[in-house]
Amino acid sequence: MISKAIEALKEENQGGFSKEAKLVFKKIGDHMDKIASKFIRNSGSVGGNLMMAQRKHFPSDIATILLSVDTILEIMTGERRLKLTLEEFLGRPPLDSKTVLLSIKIPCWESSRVVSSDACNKLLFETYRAAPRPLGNALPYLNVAFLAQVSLCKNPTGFMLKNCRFAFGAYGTKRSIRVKEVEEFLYGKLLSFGVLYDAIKLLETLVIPEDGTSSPAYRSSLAVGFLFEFLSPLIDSPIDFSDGLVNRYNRTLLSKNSNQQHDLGQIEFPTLLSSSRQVIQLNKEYHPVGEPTIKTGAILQASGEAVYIDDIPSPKDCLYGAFIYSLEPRARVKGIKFNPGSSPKGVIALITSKDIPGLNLGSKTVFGTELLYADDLTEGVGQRIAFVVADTQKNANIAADLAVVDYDKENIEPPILSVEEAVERSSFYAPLFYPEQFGDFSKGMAEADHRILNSQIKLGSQYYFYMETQTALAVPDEDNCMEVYSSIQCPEFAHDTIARCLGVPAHNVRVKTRRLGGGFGGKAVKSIAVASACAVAAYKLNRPVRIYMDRKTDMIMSGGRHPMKITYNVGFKSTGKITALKLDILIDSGMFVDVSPILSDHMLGSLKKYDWGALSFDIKLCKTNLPSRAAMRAPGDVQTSYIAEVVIEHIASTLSMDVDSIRNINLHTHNSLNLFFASAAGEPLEYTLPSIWDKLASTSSFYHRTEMVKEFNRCHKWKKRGISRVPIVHEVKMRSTPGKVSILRDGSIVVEVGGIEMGQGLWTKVKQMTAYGLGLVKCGGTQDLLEKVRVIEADTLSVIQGGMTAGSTTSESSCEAVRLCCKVLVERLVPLKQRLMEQIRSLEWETLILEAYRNSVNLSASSLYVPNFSTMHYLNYAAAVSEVEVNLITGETTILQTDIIYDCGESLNPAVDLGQIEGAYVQGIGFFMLEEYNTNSDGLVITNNTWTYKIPTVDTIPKQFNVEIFNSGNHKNRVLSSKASGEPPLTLAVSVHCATRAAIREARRQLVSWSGPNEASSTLVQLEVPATMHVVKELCGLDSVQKFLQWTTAKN
Amino acid sequence: MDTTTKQRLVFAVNGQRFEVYSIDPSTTLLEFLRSQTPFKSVKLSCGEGGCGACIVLLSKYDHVHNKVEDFTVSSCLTFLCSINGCSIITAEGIGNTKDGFHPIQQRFSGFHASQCGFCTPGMCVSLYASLVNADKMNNRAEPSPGFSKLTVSEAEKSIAGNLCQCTGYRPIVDACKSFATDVDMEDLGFNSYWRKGESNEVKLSRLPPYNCNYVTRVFPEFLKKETAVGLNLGSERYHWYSPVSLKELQGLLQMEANGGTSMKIIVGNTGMGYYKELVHYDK
Repeated sequence: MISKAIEALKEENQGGFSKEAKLVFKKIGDHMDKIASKFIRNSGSVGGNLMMAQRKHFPSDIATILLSVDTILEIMTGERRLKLTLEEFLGRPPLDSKTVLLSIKIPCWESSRVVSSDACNKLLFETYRAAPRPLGNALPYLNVAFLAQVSLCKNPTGFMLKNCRFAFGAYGTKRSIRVKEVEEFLYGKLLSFGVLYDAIKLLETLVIPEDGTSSPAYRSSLAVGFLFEFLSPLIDSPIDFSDGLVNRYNRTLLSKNSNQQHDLGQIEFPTLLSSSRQVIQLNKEYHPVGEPTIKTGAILQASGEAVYIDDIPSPKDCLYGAFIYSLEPRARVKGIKFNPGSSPKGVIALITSKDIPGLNLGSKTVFGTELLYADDLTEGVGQRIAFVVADTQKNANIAADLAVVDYDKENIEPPILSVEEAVERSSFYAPLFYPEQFGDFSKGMAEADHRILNSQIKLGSQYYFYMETQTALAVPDEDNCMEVYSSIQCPEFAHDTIARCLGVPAHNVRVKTRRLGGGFGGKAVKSIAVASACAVAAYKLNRPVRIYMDRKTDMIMSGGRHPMKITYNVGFKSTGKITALKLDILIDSGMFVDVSPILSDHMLGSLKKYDWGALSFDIKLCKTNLPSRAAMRAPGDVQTSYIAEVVIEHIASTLSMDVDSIRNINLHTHNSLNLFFASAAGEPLEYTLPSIWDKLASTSSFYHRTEMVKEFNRCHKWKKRGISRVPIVHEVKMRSTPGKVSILRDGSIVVEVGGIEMGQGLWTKVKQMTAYGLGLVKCGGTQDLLEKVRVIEADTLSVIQGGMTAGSTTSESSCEAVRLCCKVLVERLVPLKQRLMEQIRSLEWETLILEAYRNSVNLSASSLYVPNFSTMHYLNYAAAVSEVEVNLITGETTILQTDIIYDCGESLNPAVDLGQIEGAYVQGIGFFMLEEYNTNSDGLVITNNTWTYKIPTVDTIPKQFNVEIFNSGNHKNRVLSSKASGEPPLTLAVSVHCATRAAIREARRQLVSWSGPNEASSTLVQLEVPATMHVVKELCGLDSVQKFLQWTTAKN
Repeated sequence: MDTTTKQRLVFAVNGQRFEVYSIDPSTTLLEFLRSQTPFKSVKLSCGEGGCGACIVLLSKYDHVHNKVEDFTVSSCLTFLCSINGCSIITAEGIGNTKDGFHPIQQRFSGFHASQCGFCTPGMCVSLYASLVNADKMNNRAEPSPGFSKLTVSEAEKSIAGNLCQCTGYRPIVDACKSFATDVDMEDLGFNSYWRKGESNEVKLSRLPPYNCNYVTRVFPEFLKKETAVGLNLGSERYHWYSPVSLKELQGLLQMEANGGTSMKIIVGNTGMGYYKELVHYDK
C-alpha cells in the first residue's frame, strides 16, 4: 500500500541509514503523500502504480521519483525471476498479465556514494509536481525529481555539479525519462547562470509532450522552471552547509514559505487555513426567526441516516434504467444494437419514443418543450435516444455502454456547432422579453474622451457537480396511477410532464421530493426527463423502475452553465467616468430551450452594478446542436458581473489608472440606481453598497494591504501578488409559493411548502417562521415551538403549484407562505384561547390545541403567497476583497485572503446565510479559477470525471476567509426585512480573478524589464476564465526563466 | 484448486457479522453495502475514488502482532472479496439515532458544516479515521481533556481528498480542528456552542465532549478467529482467488498460461478509478 510505503520512508528512527539516505527517503515519502488522496493511498499499491506506468503509461509520480534514485525492481514471469533497473523496466514493451512485480529497492544514498570522500561534497535531492491541487488528488501536468551531487569549489568560488539524476514524467510522455544529455552536460561544470541557461536550452529539446497532450508548451516550461528552481539557489547566494545537508535551500531564495524552519524533520507546516472571521448581528425581534439555528437534519446527514432518493429501499421487482444518448449532433437514428460479441446481462427492455403511451415529452415549461427521446433526428450530443432497463443498475449501465446507435447522416443539414453559425442561420430562441435600453448610446459615446471598440471575450460552461447525481424512482400504483420519487427542484413540472407522457389525468401522478444532494440549477428542468423516463418505463413494464445516473453520463447529459461570446464598446472620460456601454452577447443555449429565456433579465440585473451612463445591449439566445444548458446558480449574473469588471479593467489599463479608482468613480448614486432599476432600487437608505464599499476597505485594511502588495512585488521575482476589491448589485425576483401548516392533536406541527430543501437551509428557515408565526398566539410553551415543527417532503398532490426552487428567493417566499398559514391558524385559535383564559390562568400550547380539537377548530391552513408586482424585484448588495499570490514558475494561484461584506437585510438565519455566502463564493472560485469544461468539436464534454474536472477542494480555497453579514435593518417590502443569499455571493468570486489579473500584470511588467519592451508590452491582460495554472503561466511568460537568465547574464 | 482455501467470505459491518458464499467477484463493497445492508451512508458520487463520498473505515487484524490497523478506503473501488476477515465501519457505525451520535457528527452539525449532506458521511469517516489513528499513537503526549492527539494541521488535511460542493469547506475544517490537541479555540469559526468573547473553558464545556481513550470501535472477536488462509470464491462464471504464497500465485498464473481462462491481478483495485474497464475476467 502506498500509505505504508510513505510511513516507512518517513520513519525517523530508521537505523543504519546515512543522513542523506534518510533525507532522500523522506522526500520521496513527502512526494508520495500528494498522490491521489488518503483513502486511495490506503489501498492502492506502489507496485500497481508502477505496473500501470509500465503497461498503460499511467502518468505516475512514483515512477518519476523512483527513477531518479536508481531504483531496482524484481519481476517474475512464470518461474523466472529477473532483476532490472526501473529505467529498464519502464523501457520494456508492456509486460503481459502473467508478469508479477515482486520487489522494489531504493538504494541508500550518501554524498560519498559516487564521488570520492570529500568534505565539500553534498547530496541534493528535490522533487516537484505541478498540479491543480497542491495537496494532491490531482494528476500533475509534470513531475520531476532531481538528485545531484555537488561539491563546493573554493577557487573560483561556486558549486560544481558531479553526478546528476534528473527524471521527468507525466508531461505527456509514455514513461518517465532521465534527461541524460543534461546530466552529462552539467557534469563537472562550475554552476553559473550561463551554464544553467545552456542546460535549460538542452532540456527544452528533451522534455517534449507527445501530440495530443493538453498545454504542451506549458508542460515544457514547467520542466525548465523546476530545473531553475532547483539549481539557481546554488548560483546566486551563499548556502549554509553547516549541518551537512542542504534542505529546502531553495525555498528562501524563491521566497517560498520563507518563514519556515529549514531543519529537516522539524518542519512544521503552517496550517492550511488560518483563522477566519465571521461577523453576524442577531435579530431578536421575530424570535426564533433570526436565530442561527442549526440546519434541520444536519446530524442525520452526518450519520448518513438521512434518506436521499437512491437510499429508498427498492420495491419488490424493481428494475433499473440507464440512458443511451446521442454521440452525433445531428443524425437520423436508424437503430440501436449491442456490440457484436457482447451480450449484456440482465437486460429487460429497451424503451424508445415508440414506447411512450402519451406525448413524447421530456419537459414542458412556459418557455417550451423538449422531447423525452429523439424520435427522428438527433438534435445534439448527449440527447436521450433510449432507456435500457435491466435487473440491476450496474447491468443497465453496462448495457447502455455496450449499446451502439446506428446513425445516418445522409442528406441532413449540418449541425450548428457555434453561436456564430447560429447567427448565420438565424437560429434563436425567443427571449422572455426585450429589456429596455438606458439612455442614448451614441450621445454617450460622443461625450467620451476615450473609446474602446469591439473588444471580445468568451466564457465557457461550468458543471453543477452536485454530489448526488440525477436520480428518480417510479412506482406504478392501481388504476394507472404513478408515484415518482425524484431529486428535483421543480416537482410540479415533473408531475405535469409525466402525466402528459403517460397520457393520464394529472391526478393520477404524484411526485415526491424530500431532499436533494445538491441542485445548483442542474436539477430543475434537467431532472424532469429523468423522472419521466422512469415513469414511462415503469408504466410500460408495470414494475418499479429507478435510476441513479453515473457521473460521466450525468456530466454529458445534464449540461451546465451557458457559454457566451461578448463584444463590448465603451466610452469614458479621462477621469475614468464611463459615459456609454454597448454589449452584444451571443448565448449558447444548446438544443433545448430549458429556461434560457430568463437569462437576459438576470444578465442585466447584475451588469447594472455600475453607472454606465448610457447602456445599450443586444442579447441573442442561440439555438445550437450543442448540449442544452440550464440556469446554473447565478445564471447570467456571474457572467455579466464578470463582463462589467472586464470593462472596468480595460478602462483602467487604457488610462493607466488604478482599477479601484475606476470602480469607485462609476459606482451608482441612489439617483442613477433608480434610473437603471426603477422600483427595484428601493428607498435611498436601502442602497447600502456605498457604505459596504467603504466599510470593507477598512475591515480588510484594503489600502494598507495594497501598499504591502506593491512592496512584496518589488522584493520578489518569482512570486507576484495582486489584490482587488469588487462590488456587486444583484437583482432577484420573488415568485408565488404555496405553503400548508397543520397542527396535530399532540401539539406537534407539520409543514409543507413549495420550496425544495437542497442544502440551502430552506426547511430550517421555514421551521423558524412557523414557530414564530404560531407563537403569536402567545400562550404557555409558544417560545419553544421550534422543536415541535417538522417540515415534510414536497408532495405534488398534497401541495399544488409548488413551482421551481430557484432564483435565491424560494426560502423567503416559502417562509412568507407559511407565515400566511400561521396567521390564519392564530386567528382561529385566539378566540378559543381568550375563552379558555377566562377559566384558567395559564394555558399551555398542548391544552389549547387539545381544546381546539374538541371544538372542531380547523387546524390546517394552506396558502399561496403571491408577491406584490411592484415590489417583487429587489436588489442585493455586497463587496469582496481578495488577495492572491501567483507562482511564476508554475502559474499556480494561491488565494491568500478574501473578505466579504454581504447585506442580508435582517437575516432569517445568519448561520444558514453564512453557509450560502461561503459556499456560493467557493463555487464561484471553481468557475473563475479551476473548472475546465472542455468539449470535443461536437460539444461532447470530455472533462467528464473527477480526474479531469476539478472543483475547489480544501487546498484551493482562500487561506483566510472573512465574512461579515451586514444587517441593513428594516425593509418593509421584504419578508420580515430579510434578503436573499443563495446566488449573489457566487458572483463575488470575480474578485479572485481580478486579483490574479493584477498579479499577472506585475509579472508581465517584470518580464518587459528583462526582455525589453518589444514583447508583452501591452499592459492589457485579458485573462481567460477559468484562470487555471497554464493560463496564468502563459500570460506570465512561458519563457520567463530563459528571459531572466538572458537578462542576468547580459547584465553581468 | 488448493484445498486449503476457503469457500466463504466473512467480515463485519458496524460490528454485525456477514457471510457470503457466492458472489460475482466484480461486486464492490459499495454495491454490497447499499443493496444488501441497511447502511446507506456510503454514497456513490464519482465511482472512481475521486470524491470520498463512499469511504468507509476498514480495520484489519494482525495476528502476528495482535494489533488492529485502521484505514479508510473507497468502497466504490474495493472489491467485496478483498475484505475477507475485515471489519468495516460506516458513518452509521460511528454514531446514529438509536445508539447516540458521535461528537464528530454533533460538531459537524453544530459548526454548520453540512448543507446538502451528501458528502457529510464520507467527511465524518475521514475525520474519524484520523482521530482513531492519532489517538493510537503512544509516542504522542496525552492531549488535554476533551481533545484528541490529532494536530490542527492533520485535522484540516484529514478531509483533503473529500469533495464538497455546498459549504466551501471552511466550516468543515473548523469542525475537524475542534478536536485537535493544539487548536486555539479562538480560531474556530461561527458555531452553535458559543459566541465571541467567551472563555476557552466555557467554550470547551459547551462542545459535545470527546474522549480520546473512549473506545467506540472494538474489533469483533469473531473475526480474530478467522485465519488468514487464501480465499477461493466465485459465482457461475467468475472466480476470485486470494493466493497466500508466491507458489500459489505461480500456480494460478500457470492456469491462465494453459489457456481457457483470463485473469487479472488485483491489489487495491484503485487503478479501476482511472481505467474503467468493462472487461470481465474469468478469475
